[in-house]
Amino acid sequence: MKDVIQGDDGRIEGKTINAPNEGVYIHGLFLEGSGWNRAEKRLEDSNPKELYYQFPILHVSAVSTAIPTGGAPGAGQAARQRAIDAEKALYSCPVYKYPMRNDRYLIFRTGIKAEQAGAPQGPNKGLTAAMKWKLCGVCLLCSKD
Amino acid sequence: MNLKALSKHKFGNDHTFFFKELPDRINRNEQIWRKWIDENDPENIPVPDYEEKISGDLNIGHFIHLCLVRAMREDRTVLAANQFIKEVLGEKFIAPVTDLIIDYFEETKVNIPVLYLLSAGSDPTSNIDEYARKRKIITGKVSMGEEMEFPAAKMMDDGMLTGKWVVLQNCHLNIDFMGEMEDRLNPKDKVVHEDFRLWITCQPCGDEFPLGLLQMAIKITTEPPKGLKAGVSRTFSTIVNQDFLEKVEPYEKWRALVFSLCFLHSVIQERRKFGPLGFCIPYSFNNSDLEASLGYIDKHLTQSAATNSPYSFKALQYMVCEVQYGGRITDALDRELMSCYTSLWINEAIFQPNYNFMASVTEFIYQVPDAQEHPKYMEYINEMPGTDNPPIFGLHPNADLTFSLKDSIGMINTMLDTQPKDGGGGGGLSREDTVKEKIEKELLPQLPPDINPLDTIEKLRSLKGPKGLGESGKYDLIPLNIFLSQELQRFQMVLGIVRETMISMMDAIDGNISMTPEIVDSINQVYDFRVPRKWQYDPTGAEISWLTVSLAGWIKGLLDRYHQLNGWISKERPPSFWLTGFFNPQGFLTSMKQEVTRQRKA
Repeated sequence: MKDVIQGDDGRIEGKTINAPNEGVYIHGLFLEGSGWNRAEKRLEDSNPKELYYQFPILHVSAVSTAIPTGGAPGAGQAARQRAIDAEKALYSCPVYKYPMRNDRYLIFRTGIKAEQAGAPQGPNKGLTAAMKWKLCGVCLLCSKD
Repeated sequence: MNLKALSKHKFGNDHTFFFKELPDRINRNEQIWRKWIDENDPENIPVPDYEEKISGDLNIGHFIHLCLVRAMREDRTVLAANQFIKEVLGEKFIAPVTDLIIDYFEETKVNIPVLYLLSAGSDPTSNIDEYARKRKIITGKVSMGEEMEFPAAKMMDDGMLTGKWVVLQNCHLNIDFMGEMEDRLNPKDKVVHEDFRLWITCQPCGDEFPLGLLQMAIKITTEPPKGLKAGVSRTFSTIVNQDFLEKVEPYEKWRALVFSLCFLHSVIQERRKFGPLGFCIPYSFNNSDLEASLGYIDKHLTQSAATNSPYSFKALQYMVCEVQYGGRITDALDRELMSCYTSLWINEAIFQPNYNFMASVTEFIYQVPDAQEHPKYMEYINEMPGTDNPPIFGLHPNADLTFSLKDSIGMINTMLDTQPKDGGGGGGLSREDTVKEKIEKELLPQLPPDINPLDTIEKLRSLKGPKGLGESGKYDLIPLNIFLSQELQRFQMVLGIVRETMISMMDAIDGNISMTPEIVDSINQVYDFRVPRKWQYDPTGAEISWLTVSLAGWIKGLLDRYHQLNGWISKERPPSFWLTGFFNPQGFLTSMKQEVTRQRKA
């Protein structure tokens, strides 16, 4: 059990919810730099003139980073490969306290789904979905001012 | 928000509510107003309901227009202000100033120096050199720094005797010496050669710069032209020439890399203008980073050719991103951003004919030009658009909105800073009385009750955590409960400070205690709807609470935080947490991790 914090979006705000069995739900975050596709729970291009999006409730918990041992030879390898592939589809999004982004205000980073499933390769070769959002300067903010 | 403030604002000496009927009009004509607000350039389009007044009233028409744009489209404020200046003062006040050295040299004298205020990327020294050569005058330069006073003084004495020019660079590093300058320029006991001139370059440095010198000098500030086109054009006219393009073989690959790197250089420089959306920290990259990177690529290509081995783009990317430019980058996230650019643009792919830097940009195709001669490159660069669309940086078009908002707010804040601080408040209650009433009737009653530490411990013992953690009666040892008690302590500390300052402000206003400078500051801040400094920072300047612009926002923050913490301690753990409301969100996550780990172990 290692200290990796991984988030995946939970339910949309406004509903009555129960606390998760493990980890916590957090709310009140704003997404800057991109839009949010609620249906597919992934990043998408923002609408014109919309600078911030209210982000749904985020489930934050601890996951193990240990590589599974035992089993058939090569199983660890396969698991690692799966983990790397899963990582690729995610944008490691920084969460900041204020719009001023610096070390002091960086709280944690969370993986957010960056890619549309089965989306065609963009026109720029070598530009992955995660890189695209990185260049867009996407982050989550606790406060807009 | 802005609308309401504008409609209640009193203008001029007779306190007229110019915009009293504004909210009403918007309600009645909502669609027309909405359309105006959603226009791309509302400042150029007639304002609904007000157009007659604006074009009819020569005195204040333009001002009304400016107010309306500012209230409804803050991002267009700078443009509207430009229009305002053009109409009211005249076109020449908004035209870019392109004074040449010769234009202001006329005004210099032996004892009237020129003071350059440096902005990032500009260096006037070469211009001075060039002009000196034209006038056949010798210049001496001293770059200021520790213990450079003596050489500088010596050079000035020499210059005054023989009629040379003296350039003192980076004088912000030696402010004390600048203090002597006034006397040195007007020596009592000797005659100064009439050709002597003093040039000072200095970064803006707050209040410390000697006022006397500032007043007697001719002050110049230069701003390098903005935009990708100007940037690439500048590097291609200073660093790159025909010989440079034919320096390394194979030429076509070398040329592609040179162009790509110059382009990259300009992109990251321009990206800074978007503020935090661009880079976390605005680094001052300069030509030396570019030259060093080009130098490394030169070596790598030459070596690879000699040993007949393939290029290692990984090595090139690493040297540019992590070493050369990376040497300036201090934030890990900025370095990741930089590595996106280098892995994209320092790559085998750019050798393809007509390589396109950012394929999603369609208005203009930014590519590696297919050319061999330097003039052809310049030709291509000149075709580039003068204003850059955000997508070329990889940003969303909305980034322009972020940028112009930031620009407008910056402009307004600069103007506010130049306003006299204690303007005469007209009529009615005095400043003190207003503040007292506000504290007594509005602020103090809103404050939540103090948190009793003994009570907290008692409650924590029986505050259940997640399934399988802790024992009944000993729940105060669960990680998140420990965290909660720390948060409550810090909250109580802030609450105590707030209550204390409020009471001492009232006591001081009543004359029961003496008015300290600190209390006066707090009163002024409350009067201006700002947050008293003591509530946000401790005496060492460390943040102790949340940062907001307005007092109302801060008080709301206080109540919301109390609501979350109090609900948690007196009832139960909330199903979802408001992360913003914690003093130490990292601590919150750490405690959460401990809980999960313990749950798994059990």
